[in-house]
Amino acid sequence: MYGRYAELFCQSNFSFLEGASHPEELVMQANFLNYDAIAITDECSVAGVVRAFTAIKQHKLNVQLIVGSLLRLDDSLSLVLLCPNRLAYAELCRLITNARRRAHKGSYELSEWDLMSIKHCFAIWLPKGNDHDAHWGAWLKKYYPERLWVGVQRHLQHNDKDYTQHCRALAEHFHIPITACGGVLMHSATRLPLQHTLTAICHGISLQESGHLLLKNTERSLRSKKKLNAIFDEALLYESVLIAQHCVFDMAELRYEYPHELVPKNETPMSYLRKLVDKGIAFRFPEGISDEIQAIIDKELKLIEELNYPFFFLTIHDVVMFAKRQGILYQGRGSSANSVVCYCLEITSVDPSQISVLFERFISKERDEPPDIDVDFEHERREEIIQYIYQKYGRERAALAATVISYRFKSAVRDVGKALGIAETQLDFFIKNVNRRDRSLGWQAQIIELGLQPDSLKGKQFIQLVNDIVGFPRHLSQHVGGFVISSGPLYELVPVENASMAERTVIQWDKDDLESLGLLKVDVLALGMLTAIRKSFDLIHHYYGRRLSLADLTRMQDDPNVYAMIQNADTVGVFQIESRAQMSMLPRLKPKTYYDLVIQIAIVRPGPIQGDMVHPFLKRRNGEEPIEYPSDAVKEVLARTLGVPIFQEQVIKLAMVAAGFTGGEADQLRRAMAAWKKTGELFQFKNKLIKGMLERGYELSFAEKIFEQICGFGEYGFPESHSASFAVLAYASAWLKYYYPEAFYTALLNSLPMGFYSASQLVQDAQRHHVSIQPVCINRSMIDHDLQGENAKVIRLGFRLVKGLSVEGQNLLVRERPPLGFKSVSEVKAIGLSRRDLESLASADAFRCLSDNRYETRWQLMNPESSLPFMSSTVAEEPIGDFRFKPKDIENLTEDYASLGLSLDHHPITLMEKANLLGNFVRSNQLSRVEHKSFVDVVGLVTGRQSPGTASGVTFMTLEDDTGNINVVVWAGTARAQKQPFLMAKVLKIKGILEREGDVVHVIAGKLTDMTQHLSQLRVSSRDFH
Amino acid sequence: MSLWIYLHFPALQLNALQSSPNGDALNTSQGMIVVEGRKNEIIQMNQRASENGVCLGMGLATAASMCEGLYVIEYDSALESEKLKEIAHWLYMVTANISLVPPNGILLQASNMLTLYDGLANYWQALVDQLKHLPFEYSFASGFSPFAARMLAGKSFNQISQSERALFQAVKQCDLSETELSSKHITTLNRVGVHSIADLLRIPLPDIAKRFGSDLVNYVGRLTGLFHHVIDFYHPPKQFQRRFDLLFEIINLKLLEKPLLKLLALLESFLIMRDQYAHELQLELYLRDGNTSTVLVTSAAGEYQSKAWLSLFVLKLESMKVASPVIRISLSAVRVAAKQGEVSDLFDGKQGALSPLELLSVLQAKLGNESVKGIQVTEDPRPHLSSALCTPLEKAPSTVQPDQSLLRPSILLPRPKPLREKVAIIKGPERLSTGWWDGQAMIRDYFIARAENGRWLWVYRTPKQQWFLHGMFS
Repeated sequence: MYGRYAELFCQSNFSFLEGASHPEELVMQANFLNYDAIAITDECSVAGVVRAFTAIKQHKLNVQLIVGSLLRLDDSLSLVLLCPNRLAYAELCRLITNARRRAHKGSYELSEWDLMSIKHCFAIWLPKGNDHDAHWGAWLKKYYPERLWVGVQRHLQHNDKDYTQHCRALAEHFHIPITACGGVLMHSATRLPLQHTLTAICHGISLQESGHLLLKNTERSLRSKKKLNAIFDEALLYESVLIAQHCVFDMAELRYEYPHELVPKNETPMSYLRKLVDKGIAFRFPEGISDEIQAIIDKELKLIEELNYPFFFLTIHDVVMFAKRQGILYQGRGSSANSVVCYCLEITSVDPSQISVLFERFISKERDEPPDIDVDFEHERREEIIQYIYQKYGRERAALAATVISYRFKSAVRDVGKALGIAETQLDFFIKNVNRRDRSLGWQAQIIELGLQPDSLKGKQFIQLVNDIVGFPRHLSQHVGGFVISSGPLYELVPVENASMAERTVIQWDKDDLESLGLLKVDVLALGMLTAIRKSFDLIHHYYGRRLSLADLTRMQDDPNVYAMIQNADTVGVFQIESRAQMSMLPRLKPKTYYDLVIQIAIVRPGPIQGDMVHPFLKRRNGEEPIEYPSDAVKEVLARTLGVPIFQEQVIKLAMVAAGFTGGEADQLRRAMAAWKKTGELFQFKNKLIKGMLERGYELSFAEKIFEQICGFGEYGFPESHSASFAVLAYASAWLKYYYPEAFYTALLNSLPMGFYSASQLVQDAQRHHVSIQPVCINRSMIDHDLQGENAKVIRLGFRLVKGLSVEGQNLLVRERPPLGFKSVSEVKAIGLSRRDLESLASADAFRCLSDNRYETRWQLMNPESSLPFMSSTVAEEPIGDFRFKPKDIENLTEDYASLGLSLDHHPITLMEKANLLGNFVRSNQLSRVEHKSFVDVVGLVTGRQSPGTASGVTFMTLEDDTGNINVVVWAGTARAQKQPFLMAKVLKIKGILEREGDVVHVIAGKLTDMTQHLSQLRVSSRDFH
Repeated sequence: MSLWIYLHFPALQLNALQSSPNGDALNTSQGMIVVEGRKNEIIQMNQRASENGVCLGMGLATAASMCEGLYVIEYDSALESEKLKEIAHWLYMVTANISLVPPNGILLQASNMLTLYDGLANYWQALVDQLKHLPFEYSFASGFSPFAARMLAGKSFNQISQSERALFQAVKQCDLSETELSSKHITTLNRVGVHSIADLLRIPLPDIAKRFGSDLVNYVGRLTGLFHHVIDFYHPPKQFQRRFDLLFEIINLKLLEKPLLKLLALLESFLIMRDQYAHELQLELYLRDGNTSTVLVTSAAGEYQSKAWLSLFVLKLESMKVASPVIRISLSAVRVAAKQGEVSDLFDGKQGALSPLELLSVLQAKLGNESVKGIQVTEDPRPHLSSALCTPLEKAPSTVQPDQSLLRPSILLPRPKPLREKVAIIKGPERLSTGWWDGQAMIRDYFIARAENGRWLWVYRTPKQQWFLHGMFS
């Protein structure tokens, strides 16, 4: 046997565009090669170490992980710092943080002072082989006494011998011990082409041009001990093992403490949490609490205490209390959010007495995963929350989690292609024409179809390299809202670096890394619907005098009127159940209760649809199929969804009760599911799952079906814990739409952009609900859309809708408007609006109350002379002269769309029909009278074209006419034969067959006719030539 | 009012490609499009693509989904400008006052030509006849201002007329989107109800000036011909080209010297007058059998003296044979450049020696251009590819910085030989395992070795443990 070795210098692909192997690959290979230890030493980063740590834990590898980092000071000094203990680790994190915070995102700036301040880290000095080494030898010896080694590398270069000699001389001269190290960039020699490619990408040139920048050979891979023994003295190799033995720091030691200021003196976190919960009980259950609920609360608190999570709940409680004080609406979701404790802490509004969802289902001891609470806030006000967190804890103690941006198909094709010298237009062509949704055809097959020669050398290399590079980290970005907050400075736990957004900092780990280490993050997310609901509540309070809250709505129990509306798929604007797919499912699923909504939201997802769970569920619900369970254990998991797994939690739980997975294994399964399209890791679980189920007496067919369902779920599986919170918002928005439609539409319009529908679609829906809507008016509008008229039942569109009107302009208008309104256009002009603002208002026809021709008004306003001061007072109105342009209906429509994005007066279809341009057709609201399976002609604006990856070959189109939306199904064959109208038409006429299933109506397209050109005809035909 | 004719070439690049010498190889049943990459917009296409529903202005992805097997060409504005110049040059034979409107239009001032051709019809006929020889599609129109003619040609008006009324009527019917106006102007105009030229012309100029500024006033003035529109006209390049019909046929090329010298003398005076040097001359020999034979002579340093040029030609002609007698010769200067001061110091020792450039000229004349090469270091890490042939005297790009510390022999064998002698390894190995990207991957361990006779050798070992000699240190 050959001697022992520890690799002390090894960079993973978290040294972006340099390292060519994943950290997991490196530790697995080091284990395979029987190394004692391996250090992951990415350049000024520890972003890859958690993955290495997790891989060792997960695969129970017999190799020690050392945390370290490569640091370069200018061009003259390279050093690997290793962490022997926790103190050294904190020191390294601080150093990396300082170097990174000084520089722009993605780079670092090291100073001599940084290195001089190091007191605990071991340093492996990598001499340059030039004259500067003498200087640095003395310098290092001074600042790193007893903690310094000369690291010798041998990569079979022409000057190996001289270099080794040089290193030995330095070691002797300065009395520094000497060790061998690898300078590893690849776990295996086979990665050389990829490493070369990364180098070329890094320098932005092709491989052909990269020449001497490229590694000359494969020696910078993890090498066998046999080879190492051949090229290094045994003493040098053994020294590495000695160093490794001194490195006792283990990532598992990392535990960070929650901020202490949340707990008052004389309280423990747990006692304080209990106090807050007690207070919450009094608030949430004013009539007193049942024994049953008290029992649940006790159980939950016990669990929280056992798992030591009180700080987590206290932190979130603190954040939501801030939101409450500021009047910002929020709602918690996630595995622990729907507990009674969270209800009492006002983190969620889901009334536990109404739903039987139990906390225990979400947080459990055996499932080895930290509690997960995401809190959604109003999207327009989330920034206030973020600022509060920064203010309260300081930037030293709060930072966002990172998101690792990795190579995906497009970026991989582009970068690899460029390195291989393929023309960029060709690459663009590939990227634009590969249909990623068509899973039946892999991208390779498609690219070959597009002209890549698969058997040519370049073709083969291209395919291989793109496959290799996909999933490689490219850079760190900020997570949407995952905060890490600690009691001490964060930089002693993990390095912090700058994000691209000014004033934002991110840590070097992403959410999976945090989870692996059992560190908790607080998710502060933005949700548009919360804004809309809060604005609805405000309007209702202001105009109708009724105070409402989310908790009030859930407490009132399920309202049959609201559910009747939902069952009719009358859900435009309603949270989550407003998409077309949801709408066509509503009349079939007919939700009657809150829990039905929870299912509805989770079931119309690619996961359950791909796993083919929708139809069995519908059948069982309609009593068309018997509900059976292979065992009581399975029954317990699946009973609430009639034996069909719909939620992600059920699948995980199933693996545990039916296949005997441990909590830890189930958690791995969950992660594999989330990433399985990327890594294919899921198949590792197949055998274990099926074997486990067979052993427990389940039939093979059942086991295989479950596995298939897991695959189908894949990354799209939706957790019940999130669905439960979303259902509250869905119900609340439906309730508002039913009881206070005017306020609801107004609030929605005031919260745009959000949701599924444009202002135009919302306004049309409101009009169909007989809500009266008044246009933007210079004398009556406010900045926001508002309620006016008798009983405040009329929606008045606000200035915010006018495109091109500045915010200052809007404020000025409202502030300077005379109590009785403006009497003339020049009076408006006189308040000092910019010309652009005035013209925008004119085009939006906001002057309609003063002048009925928007062209003329705009024309008049464009004249700079009339804004001279002496003109404004003396000349009332400028003479119009022979201005003769008066907008026709279609021109009014065009102007409406151009300046407001919607039209209250006209719909293009109405105008086109009036001009006899459309022939015979049936309107959307008349389709209910057309017989099932009969021919029908429909016309409309194309507002949606969706080709779900699931139902391959079908495109769902939505046409909008002047009475509503029409659902059209276009088969692939039909689309292919009529590509032009299918792809290009903005106004489309379709001859097809009407199909009705219950109340759901679809038109199956036959002949498509593009009517778009008639729109412009409308203008031309109505214009007279002189 | 002056009359203008505008020729619009909507598919210059595509037509050029279709008519290129190997254009026959293009499959006409395949859809072809020219794409402007930056805007991702299709700007030219063939019949086939159009039949498949591809439209101009479409994105590449949409077009690709409409028409399978689409042949995509990237737009090349330089090529179009080049072609445009060719067209202008060609038209210059029949008309004066040509103006190039890059990338794809030509404007002709017709008024001045009408007397010469005795009317518009004849003039236009002459143009059409001339254009027939070119492979380019075009649309056209006449107009009373450059803008008007251009706009009408752009919408394929395809009428040539002098009737003010008819032309004016046609102009008025144009939509603003068909004009040269910026999209910003068009939008502002549309938003006060002005959609066509007719609408625009209805507004008094002072009103336009007040609201839209002088740009638009200028446009309207020029469109209607009210304002003068300054046009730059095309001038053919100042190029030397002379033809000489031989009085008798020549089969012995040595006899060409005399007539050639006459042409060269003309060239000499042409160059002296302009203070220029010629760098490359082309001599065309027109043969009785209808063929032509071309002789190219270059002088890297530049030369104007007829005698010097003649001696270069003589070297060339020595090695040439023609199949049938020469009946006419034509000489053109392919490359000329302004004279640059030469440095030749009276006290410089090497008086009368050839400069590198002169030497190059002589070598090229004697051996043929193809046979003279320079040598250059490259970026390639593989030893046998670390130098490459290049155009003579070309400097390596400054990015190439060979690693000076590498120990490389000064003599590299063109092909490694199996090592047959006993050697002592002095230094090594240096392992090279690279070059996978162009199919010439190699794995070798290089060593510096000493042969028994004391020579220093560069040898390598393959993974199969075979030894080769690759070079010698001097």
